[in-house]
Parts: sequence; C-alpha cells; structure tokens
Amino acid sequence: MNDNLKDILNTLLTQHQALLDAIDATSDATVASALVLELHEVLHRITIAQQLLLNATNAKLADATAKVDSASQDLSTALGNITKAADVVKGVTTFLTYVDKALDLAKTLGVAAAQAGV
Amino acid sequence: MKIKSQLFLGATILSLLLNLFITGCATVDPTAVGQFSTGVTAAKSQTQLALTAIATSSREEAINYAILKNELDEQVFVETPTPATIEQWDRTFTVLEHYSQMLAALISPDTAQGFDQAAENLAAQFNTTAADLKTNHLVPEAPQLSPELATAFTKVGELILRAKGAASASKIAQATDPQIQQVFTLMAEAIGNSHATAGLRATAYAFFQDKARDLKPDFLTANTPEAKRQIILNYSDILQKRDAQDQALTSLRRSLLSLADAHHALAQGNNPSLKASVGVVMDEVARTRDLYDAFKTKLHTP
Repeated sequence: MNDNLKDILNTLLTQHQALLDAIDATSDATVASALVLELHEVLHRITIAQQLLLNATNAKLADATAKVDSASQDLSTALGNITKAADVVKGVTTFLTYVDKALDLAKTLGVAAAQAGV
Repeated sequence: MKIKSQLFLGATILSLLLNLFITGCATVDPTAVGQFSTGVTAAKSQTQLALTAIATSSREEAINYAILKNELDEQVFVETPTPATIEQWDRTFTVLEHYSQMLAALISPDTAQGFDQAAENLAAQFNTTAADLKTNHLVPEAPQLSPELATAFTKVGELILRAKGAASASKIAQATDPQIQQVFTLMAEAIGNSHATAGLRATAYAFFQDKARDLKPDFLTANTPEAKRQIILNYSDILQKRDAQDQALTSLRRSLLSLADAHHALAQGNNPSLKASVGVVMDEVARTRDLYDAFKTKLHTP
C-alpha cells in the first residue's frame, strides 16, 4: 500500500514541478492564472496523498511502539529488583533495631525484678 | 581474628574481580545513555516544532484552495499532517522517552546507592546489636564487623547490583533494537530524503512553491516598478521560508537516523559509536532550534 501511495505522490510531485516550470516560463498573465489554478488542484491532491501515506506509517509506528512500551515494563521490573535488594537489607536492619528494643525491655524488666526481690 | 582477615581478603578479591568484570566486558557508558535519553527528548520537541510548522503551511493552502473552489466543505478543506498524526508522533516519542529514561536509570551508578546506604546502616546496626547482646550477657563476646570488612561487603553488593542492572539493560536494549530501528527509520522515511520525492519534505516544499507562483499573474500585470518590487520582495520572503523549512526537516531526519544508530551502538555496547551518534543528534537539535528561532516570525506569518 505504501509503495502504491508513494508512486501516486511521486507522480503528482512531477506534475506539480511541470506546472511550476510552465508558470515560470510564461509571460502571459492569463495563462499564468490558469496554470496557478491547476497548480492548486494538484497541490490539493498532494496533500491528500501525503496524509494517506502518513496514516499508513502511523499504523506501523503504533505496532512498533507497543513493543517498546513492553520493554519499558521489563526495565521497570529490573530497576525494581535492585531497589528490592536494598529493601531486604533495610528489613534486616529494622529487625535488629527490634532486637535491641527487646533487649532493652528485658534489661529494664530484669532490673525491676531484682529491685522487687523477685 | 584470622577468620576476619580471611573474610576481608576474600571480599576484597571478589570486589576487584567484579570491578574487572564490569569494566572489562562491553558495558555501556552511563553518561552516553543519559545523553541518548536527552537526545530523544530533544528530537521530540524538534519533531513537534517541524510538524506544527508544516501543518500551519498546509492549513493556509487549504484556506486558499477553499476560496478558489468557493466551497466550504471538508472534502475541500484538507491538511497534512493532521492533528491526529501530530498527536500519534508525540505519543510515539513519549514511549521512546520513557524507555530511554528507564534504560538510563538502570545503568546509572546512582541506582545502587540506596543499597550502599542500607548496607552501611546494617553494618552499624549489627555492631550495636552485638554489643547489646554482650552487655546483656547473652553472648560471651560481641562479634564486631570491622569497618574495612563492612565496606568491602557493601562494595561487593553494589558491584553485583550494578552488574545485574547493566546486564538487564543490555539484554533489553538488544531485544528492543529492531523495533527502535523501525520507529526511527519509519519517521525518517516519512520525512523523506529530498524535496523532490515523496515525503513531508517534498510536500512542505510544494506548499511554498505554490504560494510563490501565486504572485506570478499579479507580477505580470503590475504597471509600476514599485509594484513589481513589492511582489519580488514577497516572492523572496516565501523562498526564504521554503528553504528554512526544508533545512529544518533535513536536520530532523538526520537526528532521527542518528538516534537509530545511537540505540544500535548502545545495544551492541559500542561506546565510541554511541557517543558519536548522540553528538550528531545534539548538533542537529541545536541547528534546528537555531533555524526555527531565526525564521520563527517568517514561518508563522502568511
């Protein structure tokens, strides 16, 4: 489809150039005006063909982009795994602080028990 | 004490080996990957600028054509690129931007910094807890981590994480490379490699060619040199706009193809090629910005 559209667009561009050359060559204002009208007609069709070509490109872009988006998810997971490693270490540190608190509490209870003569 | 020394020696050797592994194998330069990400963002704005400028020219031509046909009809009023196309390209760039930012983050040395801090905190907490255990007579002797040993283990942990991050990034970049190549190549092809063959360059060029030739009948019928002079000045102005637009599109196409090269080099772990391609992108982005700045008023005035 793309190749056919490209061929059509190339044909229109060639025709457009031929009209430009003809306008440049004429010294008759009436002929120039008639050629300018034709030029606008061709340009209108160039615009349509160009947009159809872009639509075809956009469909392919959407397909390729979906795969890149999926790769971003994989990157995000890999990044998350690194953060998880730090989280595990943080978890152990937190656990040790709880151990310290438990030891402090045990110490306090031990002192209290000794004072009470238990 | 002997065991502690052996542990420290072991950790140091492992750290050195990992260092050699990371620097020895084809790892990607984090700075260049960061620049690739910057290049994608810059190309995104460069593309928006270029497509919007073409759409403006196209709309002006569509208005002229509707006047000429004396019809107010959607069939007559067509423009390219449409707002939907501009949005689609923007969305494509947003996905690429996110991907390149994630890639840069995964390779960045800063990524393992969270682990460094956590490991240092753990070592300090370990010593505190060990001292507490001894104070409470739960252990006869407090096992202490020497600062050297703690540092060595932190370093080993960081290197393992960095190696893992770099390996994951490289693997994902290799797997995604065909799609990235396809996206940038499709965009470059849509822009076109000349102003004479099918592509946005040729279409944008045609808009200005038409506008310039619109002046011809008036020029031929102008009776005074002053009137002719004014038409010639307008004609010259249109040609300048045409050339500025064409140069900007040429520059954008080069940026897109260089980004494709840069990603391929990144996937291959080829740092010199990656740096060179990213350098081209940054140069082209600056060039386009300069061109649009210089001709901004001219490009957006009828």
